[in-house]
Amino acid sequence: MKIETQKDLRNFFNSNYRNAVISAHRILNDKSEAEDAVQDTLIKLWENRTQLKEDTIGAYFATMVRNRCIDILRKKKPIIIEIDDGQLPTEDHSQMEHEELKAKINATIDSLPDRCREVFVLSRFEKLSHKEISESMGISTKTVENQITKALKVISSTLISILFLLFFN
Amino acid sequence: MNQDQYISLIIKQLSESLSAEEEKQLSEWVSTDIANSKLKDKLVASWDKTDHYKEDIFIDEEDAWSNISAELNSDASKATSPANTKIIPFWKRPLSIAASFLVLIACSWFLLSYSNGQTVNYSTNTKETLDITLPDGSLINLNENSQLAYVEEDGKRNVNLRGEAFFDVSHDAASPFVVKSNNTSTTVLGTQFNINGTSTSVTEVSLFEGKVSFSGADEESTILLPGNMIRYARTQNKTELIPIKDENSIAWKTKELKFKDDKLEEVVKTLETYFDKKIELKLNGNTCAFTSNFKDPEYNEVIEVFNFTYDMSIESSNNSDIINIKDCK
Repeated sequence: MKIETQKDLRNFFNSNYRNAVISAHRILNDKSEAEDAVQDTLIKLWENRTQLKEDTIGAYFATMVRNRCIDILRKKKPIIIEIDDGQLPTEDHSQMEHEELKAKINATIDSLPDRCREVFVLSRFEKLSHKEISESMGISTKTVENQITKALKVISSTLISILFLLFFN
Repeated sequence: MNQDQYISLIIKQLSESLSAEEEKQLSEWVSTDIANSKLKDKLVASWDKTDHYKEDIFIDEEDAWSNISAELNSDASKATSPANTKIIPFWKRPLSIAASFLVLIACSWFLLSYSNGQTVNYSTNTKETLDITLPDGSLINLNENSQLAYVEEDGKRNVNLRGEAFFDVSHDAASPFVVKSNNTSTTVLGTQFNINGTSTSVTEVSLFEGKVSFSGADEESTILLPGNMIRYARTQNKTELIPIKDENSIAWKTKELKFKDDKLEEVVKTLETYFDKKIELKLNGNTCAFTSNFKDPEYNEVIEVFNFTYDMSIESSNNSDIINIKDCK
């Protein structure tokens, strides 16, 4: 598709806004910041509309959104990776329903230390390589790997009881 | 390899990819012991189960689009005002502006989503003016730092104004057009007028065409005819009916400055308001009259004309200029 008129932009908005906000929200963990970031990016896209390549606008926009979010993260505070002493929370969730489980997982990811969550999100949802994440955030690839591992361990401890039931049913 | 290293492989397999050699190592380790297999399953499942992370958020797309469309179209009106063409990203604006930054009409398709009883809001920032077309066809020009709300209710067209706006109202005898500003109310029947409610203590309504009925806080009404204006002082509850002397009072909208044998002091005052600049005039005993017409002028243009007209000098500093008149001839 081409973006020439505001109507074109509206169509593009209709197909892409929600997903872009979901992405941004995952990274920034703040809905209004996420919407602002996406709206800003859309305006920027509009300003550069004559230079866009028709068949890749969607992907290009997604990348722009992600980069803007990473910039926002960088501006917020220096990237400090919290030191973990290895203690993981344990809870019994055998009575939990499916929806509750989703909510619980969301809450667990949200409860991760900021940088850990951000690294995890960039890997899991933005599908960046360890190298790309390390370059974006100014940390080593080993740290990237450790943070993903840590996130998974925390999430898995949330799932432990349910997992057994879901997996072996 | 120890367990941590195999866990590292699992992570790598999930988030990136493994080499053929690494794949082999991992699958061997998994098949060696059921505990290893379970550990891998656990981590893989954790990864998979995060699929729907934050997918359920509620997004108000209409609201979002109106923000975007407003930003796109305020660029057009910013082009008609001095200096500022920089877009401030939403996340840098103070929250109070973001909160009042509601629906702004630009495209006609938006009009289709109106239903009776819905309030539509508009606002402008510093050095911004906004052209609004209401569903009834009325045209409004909103001056800077102003807010306007419009709602069709009880068979009336209601506007709430904070700041200044020029109205060109569609004639509809069946539905009076009422503008409320600073506790004053102006009822309109098809007309062109300007309401300046920038100062909350003094409201000025200038009528150019048609007829309006104005009432202050005491609710006694005054009929206003074209060529006249009302100056209402809230604290004294005083309504003054005076002829419009200064055509330049709506220069912010018309972008035209007209001077005919006007005293230079008055001209400078008008320029100060129009360009939002502080100008000090030193006449040095001279009495000067000025005649000239400008259409959408730049400040420097006007100063150049002054230079041609008078024997003068000008000093500029950061926030003000000083004009020194040696002779008027």
